[in-house]
Amino acid sequence: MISQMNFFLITGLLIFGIGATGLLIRRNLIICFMSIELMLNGVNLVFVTFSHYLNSAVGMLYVLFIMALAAAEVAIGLAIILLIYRLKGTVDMDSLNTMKG
Amino acid sequence: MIQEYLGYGFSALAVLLAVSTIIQKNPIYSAASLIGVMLMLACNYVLLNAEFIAAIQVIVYAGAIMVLFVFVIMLINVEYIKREKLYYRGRVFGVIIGMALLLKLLIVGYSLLIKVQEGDLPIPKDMDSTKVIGKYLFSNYILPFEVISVVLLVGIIGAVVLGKKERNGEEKEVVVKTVQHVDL
Repeated sequence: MISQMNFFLITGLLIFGIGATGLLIRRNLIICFMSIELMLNGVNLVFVTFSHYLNSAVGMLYVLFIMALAAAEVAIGLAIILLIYRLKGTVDMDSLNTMKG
Repeated sequence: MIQEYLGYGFSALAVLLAVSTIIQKNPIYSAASLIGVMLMLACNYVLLNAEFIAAIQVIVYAGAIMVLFVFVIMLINVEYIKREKLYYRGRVFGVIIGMALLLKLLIVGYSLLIKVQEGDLPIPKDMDSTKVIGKYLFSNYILPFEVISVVLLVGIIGAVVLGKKERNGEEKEVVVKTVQHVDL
């Protein structure tokens, strides 16, 4: 039987992995962005778990900073997605081939 | 004891909703699943004695960020997105690579023995998490706190500049004329 701490850590890891998989398999820009949010949330859960079980406040402080960064990132990223939609008329990643990447 | 089972339930629901987030065809359903993931994680934070983080998670993530997502989804034509083909051969490789990353992280996490018994900035027994965060945020972490406020300001300005509609030619001419007038 795994301990409660390991269980929370594995949950955070699973959410991170699912977010990474979603980033790889989806072509819709908005859903890719949501996958990034999933990855950030998985990391946050690992931080808070360690903070609780090691009796240290560092993890919780870092979670606060990650949340502020995520808010700024989402504001700018969604503005860019709207701009892409205005230019191209679609939010499909495969249509963004101006750079021939 | 009951807390342990609650933790298992919340975590299982969070993982299921996370899977639902990435396999939904309609982005609105994806957004709803993501809100569910964030709420379940907030419940986990309460079980981990981080009540302040749980409140911030609900207010900032489920409240502010997801509202932004839903706004943008509604601004964009959903009919086109619904026609996205979900399953083809290339996706299988994506899933395999993602699962390989997950497996690697699990192996590394399992083989890594955590020797640290107590971290920096200990939480005193008689203080709750909110008080501890306030104490350390405004003493030890005051510089990152100020820097993050500048980052948020940059985010606001960037979003406004990017979201602004492009000016027409005549409006630019008006600006130029005004400048010339000042020069004269």
